[in-house]
Amino acid sequence: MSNFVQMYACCIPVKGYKRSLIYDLQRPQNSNFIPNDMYDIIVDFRNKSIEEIKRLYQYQYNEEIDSYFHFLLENNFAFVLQKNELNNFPPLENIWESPSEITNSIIYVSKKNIKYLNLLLKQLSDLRCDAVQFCFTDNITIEHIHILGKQLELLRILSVEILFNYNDLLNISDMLSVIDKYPRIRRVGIGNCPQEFSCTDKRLYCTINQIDWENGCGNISSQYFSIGMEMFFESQHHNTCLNRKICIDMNGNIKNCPFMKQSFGNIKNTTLKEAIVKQGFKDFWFICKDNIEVCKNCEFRYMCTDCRCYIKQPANIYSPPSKCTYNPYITLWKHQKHYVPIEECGYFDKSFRFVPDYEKIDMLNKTIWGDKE
Amino acid sequence: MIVIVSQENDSSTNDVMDWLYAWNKKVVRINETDTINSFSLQIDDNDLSLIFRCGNKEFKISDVDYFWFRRGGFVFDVSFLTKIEPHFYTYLKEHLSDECNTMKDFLVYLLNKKPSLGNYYQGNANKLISLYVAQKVGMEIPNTIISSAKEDLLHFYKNQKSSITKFIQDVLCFNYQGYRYYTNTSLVEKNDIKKMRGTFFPSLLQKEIHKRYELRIFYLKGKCYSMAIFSQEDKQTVIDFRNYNDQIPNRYVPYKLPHNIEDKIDKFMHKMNLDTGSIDMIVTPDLKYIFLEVNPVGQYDMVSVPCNYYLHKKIAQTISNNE
Repeated sequence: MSNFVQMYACCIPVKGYKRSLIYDLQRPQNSNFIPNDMYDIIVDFRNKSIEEIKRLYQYQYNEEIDSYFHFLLENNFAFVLQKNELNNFPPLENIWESPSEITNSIIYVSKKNIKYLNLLLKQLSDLRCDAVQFCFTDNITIEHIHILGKQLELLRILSVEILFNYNDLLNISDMLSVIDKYPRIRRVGIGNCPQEFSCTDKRLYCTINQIDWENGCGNISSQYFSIGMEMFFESQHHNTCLNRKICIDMNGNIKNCPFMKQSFGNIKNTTLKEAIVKQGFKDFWFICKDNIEVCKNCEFRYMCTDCRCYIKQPANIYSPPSKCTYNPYITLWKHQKHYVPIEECGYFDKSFRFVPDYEKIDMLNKTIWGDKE
Repeated sequence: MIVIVSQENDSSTNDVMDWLYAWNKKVVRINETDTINSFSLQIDDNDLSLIFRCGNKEFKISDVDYFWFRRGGFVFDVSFLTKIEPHFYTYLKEHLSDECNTMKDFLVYLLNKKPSLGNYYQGNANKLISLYVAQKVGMEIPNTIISSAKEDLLHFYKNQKSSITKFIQDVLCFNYQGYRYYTNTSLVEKNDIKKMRGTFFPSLLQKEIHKRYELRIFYLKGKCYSMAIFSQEDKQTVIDFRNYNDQIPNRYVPYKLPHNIEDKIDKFMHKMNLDTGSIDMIVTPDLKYIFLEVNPVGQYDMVSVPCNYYLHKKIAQTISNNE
């Protein structure tokens, strides 16, 4: 094996409490778990030759070191380079920026506030918002979607998702023709659908489950994970749910999240632009996973969506999401055998910090994974 | 007021405009599809005024602070000509387009007096001039022959051992009966040349350069933003990385050029009269840098996104700082 091996800039190891994960930002499917020992070698000894790394470990771990680099090359996370190329391959700069004041929005549309829809669309467009999710909580007709679709063509909003529960006025073939007609409507989700409604078109999602407008949000699950450049860098500086988000609830209140209590005005008398500059509106934008208890020890922290609405300890804004079902101390999900909640791996102290019980975690991991001392 | 000349479907122009809007700049974007239907120019002893309209877009030359030529060009509306007799059509069309060119050239001349980015007349830099200029500023280039004689090509092939062929200037690309036809860079076998007639349309052969990786460099007013493309590891992309492998994309990573190469690129761009453009290079297994070509209006998204360079913002900064 040649002397120098370097990670591709787009393959970034992230350390968790018990294991690390290489995020392959260009080939997300290729991402893979690695032991924390391997993480340390990759990060601490960047630009050192394999020979030198072996020497630094006093030639005690030659085989392990060889097998690590073999793994990195085999999985195309790294490449062999010559000594005088070492300075040619800088890492990706850890920055995230956007020219949009608002990048995403959730709008609840009810009988009460539907008359403000056009106004809202115009305001979102002026803020250069990219993506909007519309939740129609009352009966919707196909005309509503036509009006929305036509309006979008004149606006800056690039991508729209529409959610509602089924009613008798709708049929699936109409729905598909609407989606074809307006390319900016990327996805339509219909809840409470009759059993015979099914659709293979990815843009139309039908489920027999009723969409719950009150509690349906805040779930943390691997199905919401996303590995990519935007997410990876945004998540290191910002909240992955609330950053540059603005929401309207059923009553027309302007909020960070439709389920949160705090309102920054009502669309009746406040513009979105005015709401954004109110004190406190942007506070949540800057809470990133590295600030959040437990999450900061999790190897999934730069691919995971956050939730600041449903949290374990409402008195602490840095508290982990209450609906998270993953325990990073033992690397198990709730549905997996031997799972225990994080509360059994430590406790929250008076200042709400999570204090891991190292002995207990070691013991659990010995039982579950057969870890050695 | 910032004037941008571009094409309707160029999304990277949108991305730059987003930043300009974020900084409250006034922008007029003229696309190639916006035909010019009103042009009013007055010059007298002490003054010049020029007003320019395409549909609902308009600007006065005196209000322009910055001119960005992204791609495309100004197109005058000569559609009224179709109403005339065919016999006159040919003559008049040529005559009127010459008249239009004079107005267009004057418009560009005035815009170029403003701080600007992009060279309106170098949208498609001549590939042979580029190669020649690159060699003059001390960059290595691939040995190249263009000839219409079979013997010349055979002789060249014999000396170079392994050769590729590609278009002299532009890619040919069209759809016919449900198939897409296009030219790309491909390897030439000795038999390919042997099968040809004695003389033919001038054809280009180039010594095949073995790649360690390819470089795509976005040059912006003296700065190089470079990316390495590991196209060598995938058989599908060894000769031409545009044979994209969607399943397992090539590795695209940020790259820092050695200073002496950056200096040569800077000299090259000055000689070519370009302040921006995308340069293709190859790095050989023994770490030699070989210049291939420059595309003054190339897409930089493909460099900006994988390298997290935020080139759209950097271009917008260049424009709004009047650099």
